[in-house]
Formats: sequence, C-alpha cells, structure tokens
Amino acid sequence: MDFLNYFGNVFTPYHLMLLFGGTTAGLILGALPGLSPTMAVALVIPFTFHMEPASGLILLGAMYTATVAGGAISAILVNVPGAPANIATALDGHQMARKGRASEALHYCFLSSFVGGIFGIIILIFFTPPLAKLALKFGPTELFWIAILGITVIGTIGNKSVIKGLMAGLFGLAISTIGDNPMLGEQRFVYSEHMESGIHIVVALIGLFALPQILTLLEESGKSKVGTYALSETKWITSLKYNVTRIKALSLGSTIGAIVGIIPGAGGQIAGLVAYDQIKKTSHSPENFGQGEPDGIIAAESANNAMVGPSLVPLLTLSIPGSPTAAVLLGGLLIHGLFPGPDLFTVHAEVIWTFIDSLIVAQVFMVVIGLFLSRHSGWIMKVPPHYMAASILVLAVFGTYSIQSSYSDVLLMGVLGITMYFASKLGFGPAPVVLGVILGPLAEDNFLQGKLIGEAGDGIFDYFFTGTINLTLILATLGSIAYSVYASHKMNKRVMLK
Amino acid sequence: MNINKSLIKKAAITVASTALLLSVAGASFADYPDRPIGVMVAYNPGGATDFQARIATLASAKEKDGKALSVGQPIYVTNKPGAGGRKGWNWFADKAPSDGYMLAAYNVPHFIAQSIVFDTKYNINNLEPVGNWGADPAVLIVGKDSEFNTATELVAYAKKNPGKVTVSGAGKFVGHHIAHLQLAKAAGVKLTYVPGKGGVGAMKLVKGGQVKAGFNNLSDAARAQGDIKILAVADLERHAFLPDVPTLMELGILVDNSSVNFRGLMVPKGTPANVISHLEKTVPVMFNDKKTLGKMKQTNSPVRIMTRNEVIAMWKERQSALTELLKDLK
Amino acid sequence: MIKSSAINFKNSELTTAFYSFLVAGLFCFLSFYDTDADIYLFPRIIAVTLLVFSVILLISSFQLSRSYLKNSNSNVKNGLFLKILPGLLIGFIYMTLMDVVGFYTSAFFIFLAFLLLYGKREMTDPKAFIKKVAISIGFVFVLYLLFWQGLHVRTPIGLLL
Repeated sequence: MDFLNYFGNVFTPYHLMLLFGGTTAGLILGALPGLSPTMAVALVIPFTFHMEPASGLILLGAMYTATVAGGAISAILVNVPGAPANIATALDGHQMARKGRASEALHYCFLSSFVGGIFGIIILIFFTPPLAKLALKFGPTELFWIAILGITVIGTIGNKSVIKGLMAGLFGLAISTIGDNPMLGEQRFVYSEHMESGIHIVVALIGLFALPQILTLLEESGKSKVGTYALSETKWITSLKYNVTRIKALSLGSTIGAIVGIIPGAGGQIAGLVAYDQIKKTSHSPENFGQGEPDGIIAAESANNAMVGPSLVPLLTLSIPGSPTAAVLLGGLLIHGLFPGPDLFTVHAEVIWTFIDSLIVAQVFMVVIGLFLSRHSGWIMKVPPHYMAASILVLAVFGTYSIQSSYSDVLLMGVLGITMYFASKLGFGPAPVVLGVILGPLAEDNFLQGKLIGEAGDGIFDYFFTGTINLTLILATLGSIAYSVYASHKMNKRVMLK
Repeated sequence: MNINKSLIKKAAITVASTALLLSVAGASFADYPDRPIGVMVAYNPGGATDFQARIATLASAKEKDGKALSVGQPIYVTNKPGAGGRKGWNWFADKAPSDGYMLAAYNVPHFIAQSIVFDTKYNINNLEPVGNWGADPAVLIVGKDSEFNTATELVAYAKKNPGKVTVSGAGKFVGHHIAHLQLAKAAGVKLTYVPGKGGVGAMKLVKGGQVKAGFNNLSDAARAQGDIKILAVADLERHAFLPDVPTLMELGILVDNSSVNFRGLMVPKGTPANVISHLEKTVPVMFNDKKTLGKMKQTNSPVRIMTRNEVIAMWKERQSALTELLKDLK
Repeated sequence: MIKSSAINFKNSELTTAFYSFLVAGLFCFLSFYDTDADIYLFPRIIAVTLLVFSVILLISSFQLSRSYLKNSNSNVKNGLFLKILPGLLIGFIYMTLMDVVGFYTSAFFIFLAFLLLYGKREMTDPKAFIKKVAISIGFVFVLYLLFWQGLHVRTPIGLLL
C-alpha cells in the first residue's frame, strides 16, 4: 500500500496547478487534428528539464493521460482521430455527431476513458512485478503472431465489405514497407528523396483521415444554413446513467486495453481497434456498429486509457516502453536520472509513487475538464464547413511537419490524403489502411528477427510454432478468422432477409 | 574641374560605402552569434543522443559579469529522425544554412559507416566538427541466466557451434554492428547478428533470453546490471563506470575502439572560418560546465570532451578503419 | 483521377475492381522487377495477396446482378468533383509553395483563399473581405503562438516567415 503514502505530494498547490494546466493543454492539443499524444509529450519534455523530477513527471503524466482522451474529441466532432488510438472512436463517434448526438458521444468518451484509466493504473500499482516477467516473454515470434492477429481484425473495421477492408489493410501493409528498413539495412521503393525515411504512422493517420474530411466538408459547404450538423444537448448525468449500464463494453474494453498495454512494442495504438472489433463481434446487433453505436465508443475509449497504466509496467521495471508515447516518457525519466529497474521503486520511491498517484488524480481532472469541454463542443459544430476545412488543412500541415521537422512528410501526407479521398469514393475506408501501416513493421521486423534466431537455433518452423504464448496466439488468430467468416455470413443473411 | 569634382565625389562615395560595407561585415563577424543557435539531432526526442545533446548545450548562454562564458547564445534542439539518422544528416549536409546558426549532433561510427556503405550526401569531408562531448563504448552482454560468464567462454562455444550464437545490436551499420563484425573477425568465429529496434529493442532481446548475447551501450548496460551480465568492453581501456569488466583486448581478442559511439557537434562545410574558430574555442568550454557535467553523471552518460582537432583526427582514423572492415560487406 | 467523376452507379463496383487490380498489378511489378528476393520478401507476399483479392473482387463484380448494384454504397455524383476542384488546386499550390514562401505566410493566404472561394458572400464584398482577412490573421497568429512560441517547432521560414 506504498502508493497511499504519497498522495500528499500530489495535493500541493504547485502540483495541482501543473495537473490542471497539463490536463487542459493535453485535451486541447490532443483535440487538434494532427497533434498526436506522442508528439505532445515529446514537445513538452524540454519544459520539464528545469523542474524537480516529481513535478516534471506529473506534468508529463497529465499530458499523456489527457492527450489520449483529447484525441477522441476531434475523432468525434470532425472525424479526424487525434492519434492512431482514436481511430475506433471515430467510427461510431462521428456518426453520432452527424446525428446531432455530439455531446452525448463526448460524455461516453470521457466517462469510459476514466473507467479504463483507473482500471489500468490499479493494474500498474498491484501487478507490476508479475506482469514485468510476462512482458519479457514476448519475443520476436510472439510479437509476430500478435501482428498477424491484428491483421485479421482489419477486415471487420470501418468497412462494409470485408474484402475491401482487407484490401485497404493490405495497401497499408504495402506502403509501410516504403523507405529505410534498419533490420535489413536497405531501402525499398525509394523513388525520390522524400520517400527515404518511409511513411510515419502519424503522417499516414493525418493524411488518410484529415484530407478526405476537408474535401468532404467542401462538398457539403453551402448546403446547410448554420454549421455542419444538427445539434442536441444531452445532460452529462443522463449519459452517465446510460454509460454505467454498459458493463460489457466497459469491462471488455478495459481488459483488452490493459492486456495490449503490457505487450511491449504492440503499442496502445491497436488497443482501441481490438476492443472495438471484439465488442462488435460479440454484439447481438453488429449491423448497428458504424452507424453511431455508443458501445463502440465506450469499448474503444476505455481500452485506450486502460492501456496507459500497464504500458508503464515494462517501462518502469525493464526500461522497455509499451507504446510510442511511453518511449518518449522514458526519455523524460532518464533526463532526471531516474533509471527504470528495481531501484526506481526503492531509491526513488517518493518520486515514482508521487508520479503514479498523480496519474490517478489526472484521470479525475481529465473527466471533469473533459465533461466541461463537452458542454461547449457545440461551437465547433457551428463552425461553417469551409472555415473548418481551412483550419483542418493548415493544422494538418503544421502537425505533420512537427512530427519529424520534415517537409517530405507534408508532401507524403498530401499525396496519401488525395488518394484516400478517391479510394473512399470506391468504398475503401481509411481505418484499415492505418492499421496496416502500424502492423506492417511489427510483423516484418519481428519475422526477420525470429528468422535469424530460428535459423541459428532449431529451425524457423520450430521457433515460430512452439511455446504457450505462440500457440495461444495462433489459436486466437484462427478463431478470429473463423468468427469473421461466420459473422459476415450471418450478417449477409440478415441483410438479405430485410 | 567639374569632372574632377564628380570624380572625387564618386571616389568618396566608393570609399565611404566600402568602409560602411566592411564595417557591417566586420560587425557581423565580430557579433556572431547574435541570435539563438539550433542543433539538429537525427534521432527521436527522448533518445540517448537527444537528451545528451540537450544536456551538453545547457550552458551555451551562461554569462558572468555581462560576458559570455561559452558560445554566448541559447541553443535549441530540432529533431529530424528517420532512416537511422541518414534523413537528418542528409538534410544537414545538403540544405542546412552554413552561417553557424544550425549545428548538428554527430554519432561516430554511425554516420561514417553509413557514408561508406550507402549513397549519402554527407561524408567526413563535407562536415566540420567543433567539439565532442561523449564516448559510449559498446559492451558484450548476456542474459542474467546465461551459461556464459566470460567472453572467453562465449567465444569457445561459438568456435564449436558456428552461427549458433545470436548477438543483438541496435541496427545495421551502427557501433554495435561494427563491434560484432570486429569480434567475429578477431576471434575467428561465425556469429549471427540480430538487429533490434534501436538499443532498447536489442537490450530487450537479451533480457528476455531470445538471443544468446548482445552488444549494447555501456551506459545502458551499466544500469541494467540486475537483469544482465556484462562480459567485456569493446574499447582500449576499462571504463570508470565498470572498473571490474575487462576489455576484449585484455582477453586476447583484438578488438579496438572502432565501435565506440562518439557524440559531438558539427557544422556544414562552407561555414565562415571565424564562426568555426569561435565555436571551436567555446563549445568545449560549454561541455565542461559544472552543472552540465553533473547532469551527465546523473543520467549515466559517459563524458569525453575533445577539441576540434582531436575530433578531425579521430574521424580520419575511423574512416580508414571502417572502410577496411566494411569492405567485404558492400 | 479525373475519370472517377464519371463513375456512376451501374459500373462502380466494376470500376473499383478494375482500379484495385491496376494498383495491385503495379505493386507486384515494383516488388518483383529487379529486386532482391530476401529484402523484398514481405512486399512480395503482400503484393501477391493484394492481386489475388483484386481478382476476386473483379470476378464477383462481374457476377453481381444489377439489382444488387443499385444498393451499392458508392456516393459519387457528377458535379461534386467540380465543387472540390478549386480546393484541390489551392491545396496543391499550398503544398508546393510553403517551403519556399514560409509556412506562416502561405498558411495565411491559403486560409483566406478557402474563405473567399467557398464563402456564401461574393468575393468582392468589401465588408466580408475585411472580416475574412481579420479572421485569417487571427488564426495564423494563434498558430504562431502555439507552434513557434509554445511548442518551439521551427517550421521553414522561407522568404518571409
């Protein structure tokens, strides 16, 4: 119960101010299309340089928590996810917003984030030592099978046609192979210097979601009198009452998020999508998903924030980050001379428990400020489409540039976006493409590592097909494929009957 | 007379304007630097090179009694990561302004090895070092539960089982890869190199027992001693952080310091001589700042401060050693 | 690209299949022609799978009856393309010029161009024009405060800023 002793350090005026500022800034930065949590945390690190270690970490932790939740705001209101983690939220969240239920969708998003977030931190506090051991067991083969399991999810998300979903995912996998591969020490498909370092996940995310949305807004401009969509206010207490009854979506989302968070390298980027896929597959009315089903938001957002705590487990104990944002956070720890490992919880106990406690308080700040902002989300919906289009374009450009200070990225973002706009007219969705870009390197790099290790040992086949975790993952993959086929068959039957 | 007058007038104007121009130019020479200076880091924010660069440049604007102690202007960091550093360094050699307001952090042997193996826009001839702040040797490590306790045991096993020993490292053509090549060559064994996702990924493979051994940064290995065993250092001398760990040389395996990861600052070729000489004088002073050294120690970053001339010599030496080593790989 | 404006309900599925087949074919060519088998292993697997799927799509779109096609989800209408064309052009100019002119200056002009072109009121209306210029300046200023001052992102300055 060590953690209870350090709450006092969190409740100092200075730290509460940092939490308030960090949460508010995180929510707003996360909500800007084009600014991802990883980048927001990376950009704030220099500010923490001159702070006390505990204060710096509190600020970073608050930013991390809030940007993950903030990314859902733009996903819901303008259909541009703030981070790859929020893709699943956009699928149903934006449909709800289009039907005038924007504030309701935002309420579900923050309330579920809170539930998931607290669940994740509890896992972090009580199960760190055993989970750290588990995290180390995930070697190249295990991560390879996780990527394959993720790829089987592709067909069912964000697309009406399974085959088109899979093709979009394959396209994502294909473009993920562009550029330099550090494992191979070679460059592939580099036809111009702009393609040298490949397609960054967030560049793909911004291009594939933001640019088609800009063009869609231009199509819609001049049609409606005020704003883009109709609007109805919902009281947060009403949303809360509904939200607590969705126990299945909440628990499924939180559990999946926590599990994915522990797996090093898999990244919280896919937590939301996996949770979304599962809640859709197990739902009694899967055809409602993609049309504005609250369960979609609840599962996705609880998973996203449940991932935050567990992703710190391998980070704090083994110096292995569980998500890209956690990787940046590692830099923030090192700068203050806090080295992950057993020492962290003994020598630096005060700093680290204060940090973990502050994460709990940050969740409270996040839900309160988030609900407050939801009340004022209306004005974003009232912005005329062409103003919205112009703002998203400029923000997309600046956001893309700031990821790696690269003009090439801006050009790549533009090309991808225009291509996606036309592809979406042909029935291909952007979500599977981004998932492909995320999973491509995960599958390939780990396959290559596994191949080298397997060849040096008992053979590749043996290496990839033995071990409890490998076999479990292979079974899960086969199960996922079988269920997809069965579910799409069932759904086709329903559609036919109608 | 009129002609003469106008001639005099013209001459006067010429002299005056030349003087003015000279004084402006002189002022701008004397006044460098008069605005903040950037440092381009070719790796992600939060990585070792990034945070060391931030610490190393902390004291750039320090003053005493109104006089600048070192560089004399604040230094900010810009990250241009991608392609193992090639993206940033290509930009730096090709597009960065050569007015002294954009420096870059270098990693030796990475950039030299890359310029030998790949078609890059940079090489040691179009970059000008101004000072070195750190040197992080590669160390040979194995997992905590490994059967090997010394590098000699590992080499003996590898001799009996060619190719069976897997060695992880941060990627291809970085210090760890070089150390691996040197070890294989010097000991006459066949090892399997497994590139990890950066130093962190390579370390994970060792901790998780997925590979038999690995090369990693001394600084990272030194603080992970609870989970790994450190067998040897790939440098000429033992390191102060690990006084009990022998060098490979001591064990009779002739691996020199070619793989040591040197970090420092450089400017593009074509930078005015006075700017280089200003930086050459002030950058090592900036690295030597007390607070900076304290932070370096706190973050376990091995410091080795070198002047411009020392770095130039080191680059040249590395260039020829690496060309020899990578000859067969190309 | 221009062709897609001519897509109509009847042949949209077929067109989709045709375009995907082209993309898959191109990717196959690029990953097999003059490449190393070891290095291009993954791209090759992906390319072949993509080609197989596009062939399946092609065959199934031939087989689909017309009545089913009427329910297809394509929402391309003629004329929509004309509406977004100016936006595409502005975007294209923006992408090529920002590196030269500077990120902030070009952002201002592009923002203003969007407001003028897609606004409901006439472009020449002086009152509306002043309002739009003011909003654009305000937006770019906030942008500057956020990225340059707040987050210390150094965007290319170009000729102006």
